[in-house]
Amino acid sequence: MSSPLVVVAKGGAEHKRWQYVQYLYLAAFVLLVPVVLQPFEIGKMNRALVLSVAILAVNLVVGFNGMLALGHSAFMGVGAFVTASLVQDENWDFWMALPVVVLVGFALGILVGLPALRVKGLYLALITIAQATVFPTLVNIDELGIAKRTGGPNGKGVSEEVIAPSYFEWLPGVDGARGGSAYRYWCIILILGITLMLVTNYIRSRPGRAVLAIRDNEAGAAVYGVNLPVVKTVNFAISAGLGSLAGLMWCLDKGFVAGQDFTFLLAVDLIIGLVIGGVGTLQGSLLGGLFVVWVNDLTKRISIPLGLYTLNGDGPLAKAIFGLILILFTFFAPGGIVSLAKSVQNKLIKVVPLRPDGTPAEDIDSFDPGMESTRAQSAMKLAIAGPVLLVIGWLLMNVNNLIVGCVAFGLRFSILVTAPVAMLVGSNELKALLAGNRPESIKGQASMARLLGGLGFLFVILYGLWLFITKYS
Amino acid sequence: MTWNFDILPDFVFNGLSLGAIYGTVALSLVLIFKATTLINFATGELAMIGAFMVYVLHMEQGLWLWLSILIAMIISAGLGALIERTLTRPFDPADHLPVVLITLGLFLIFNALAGDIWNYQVRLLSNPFGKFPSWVPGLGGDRFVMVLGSRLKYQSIGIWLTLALALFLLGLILNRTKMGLAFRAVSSNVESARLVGVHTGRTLGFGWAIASAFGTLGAVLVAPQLGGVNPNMMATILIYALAGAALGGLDSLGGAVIGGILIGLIQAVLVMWLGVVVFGQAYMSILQLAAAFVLILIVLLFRPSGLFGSRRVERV
Repeated sequence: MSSPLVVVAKGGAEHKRWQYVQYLYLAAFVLLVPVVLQPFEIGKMNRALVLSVAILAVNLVVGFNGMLALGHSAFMGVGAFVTASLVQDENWDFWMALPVVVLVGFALGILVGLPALRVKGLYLALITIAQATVFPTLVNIDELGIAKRTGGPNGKGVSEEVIAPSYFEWLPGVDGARGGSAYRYWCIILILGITLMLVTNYIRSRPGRAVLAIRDNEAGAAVYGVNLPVVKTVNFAISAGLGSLAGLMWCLDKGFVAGQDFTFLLAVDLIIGLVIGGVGTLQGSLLGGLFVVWVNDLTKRISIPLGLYTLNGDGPLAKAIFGLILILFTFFAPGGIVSLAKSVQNKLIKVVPLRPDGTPAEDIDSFDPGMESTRAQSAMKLAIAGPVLLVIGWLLMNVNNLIVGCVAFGLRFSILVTAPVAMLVGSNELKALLAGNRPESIKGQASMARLLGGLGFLFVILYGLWLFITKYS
Repeated sequence: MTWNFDILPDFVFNGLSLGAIYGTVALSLVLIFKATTLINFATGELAMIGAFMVYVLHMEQGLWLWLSILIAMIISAGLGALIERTLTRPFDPADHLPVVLITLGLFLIFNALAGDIWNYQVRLLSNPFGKFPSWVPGLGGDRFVMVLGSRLKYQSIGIWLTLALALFLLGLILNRTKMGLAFRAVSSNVESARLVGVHTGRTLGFGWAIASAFGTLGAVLVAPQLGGVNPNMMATILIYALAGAALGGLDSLGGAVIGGILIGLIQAVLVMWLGVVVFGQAYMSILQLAAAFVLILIVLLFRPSGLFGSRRVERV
């Protein structure tokens, strides 16, 4: 192999700078999408990101736990229909449906995973395939009020469109013609970001490591005290909850759900995205979603002028090409796009780990002498400068709205995310406060947090009341 | 609630003939699983391609139906062996993911190719067992015979006889030929088989070939019940066949047939007769597919290796 352009020490300043470059490019990409693209293209991007969350869910089981789950389309469908029903029939706020949807998915995951994960091998694949095939027919059942809630074969539209509140108009792209899809894009990006963060932390946590241990050596993990059925089932249920969340995002993106959207073919799309992105990697899930939507679109454009038969927009040609790509990747690049990208990156930069005493294990470029290194350094400076200027310029343009938006957003976010915690922690403190005996514990930061929790609890109650009043009166 | 026992035999006959078809497809799954411990998710689409071959040979080229079925079975056997040799043999069967991906890819390709060539309309394929042949005394030209006050269709009898004949031939091949012996050796222990000089690769190809031929037979038999052939014809059949194979035990050939027949009976008698006729719950007819799914769940919960499957022990 040719020697890499730069060699840096792991965790060193140069290494960090390289990482910042990556983050900056990612940020610039995320920022530019709603500004540059046409509304229908933003819609496509939204669809890709929704699929990315679903692929991430599949990845939790297939990539990180080494089990074969091929039926996440059903979980997506459940999430989408629960959202649609809550918002449309029960007049819920869109975001209030989120915790319910995740919990429903989690419970379903336990139900399906419990029998399937007790046995080894392909049985989970078998069950999940059946589950994906059965789901679209279940939606159409006339009895038990199911068809009324799901809309049966006609599908169900969500008439309450998610529109940017005035304090969010500082978001790039949200004002003006592409407002609707751009705002939905930012909602999806937010959920995706939080999901990615949570999944990363989950994988690095103790249960997450148990999940990885099961993938690498099941018997070995059991010997080390990992409770196989529990860890597997809970992991599967988390993945199912995440799949349901993707369903909610689907509903958010399309505003319409129908049983025939969630067939086995969608589940296969997810698997294809997973494999082509890269099994067992977080970046792979993101790339996979983009790939699936992009290739689907491309083949559609090819098949229409060729006069090929098309069905539901994307014709059989797209599926044939997917099948071919799937087989080719399985043969020639089992690591997916991520491993291909890694091999390219390895040609540019080599990260050398540190010895225990803190010195690098190999000679590194410290960027001072030598023509080659300085050239690399200036290239990097240039690489950094572009996105930085972009972000700064945009910040300068939006500084006023930004502050208002951040405060308003912070409030809303705290309601959604801290509400359950606040409810647990805060109710007792609040009770004490209301009773008049200011507890001695209200000292210092820890107690402040509890007090805030109490106020948060109050806030949630009031917000809920307000929602109730505005919706039902 | 009306316990209408008069029409029960109707449902039993129907269930038995559906079950026989599921059993045939389940057999196709199990033949491959037994040899390679992998589930071929493209089984249904391979079978569908086989049925379309019969359609082309018989309906378009005008060949004799049974001859076209035989030719289609031979071609799909070749196709199965080809897939095994080129696409699945390079991978380690103990690692499920790549092979499952390959079969999923094949599933997509075959389905899409059939959709491109023949589009998704249902095309009529003539029924091999439409009317009793003229040499049957008293019944020649009839579509059914009255048994227990119910109509026993010639189609059902034909399906049972075909399955019985196919099973008999399979038994002969497995028990009386050298290739069959090799197949049994490989499916019981690949390493030992290889050590005593069995050409395992060729044997696995042989397993795929038989399995594909069986799948095609099942698709041809099921086509008249669906009104004809179309690219998505095997989607639900495959689920029932998977349920049948799981019920019987994924590594038991007899179990696959019995499991398939049980699934057919459950679908016809439990869901259709008991649910729809007796309890009058119209939505039960939609739940036929769900019943198969729930059944797989229950079987795995209480008897993970199926009714006739052998428990696999793993050593570390």
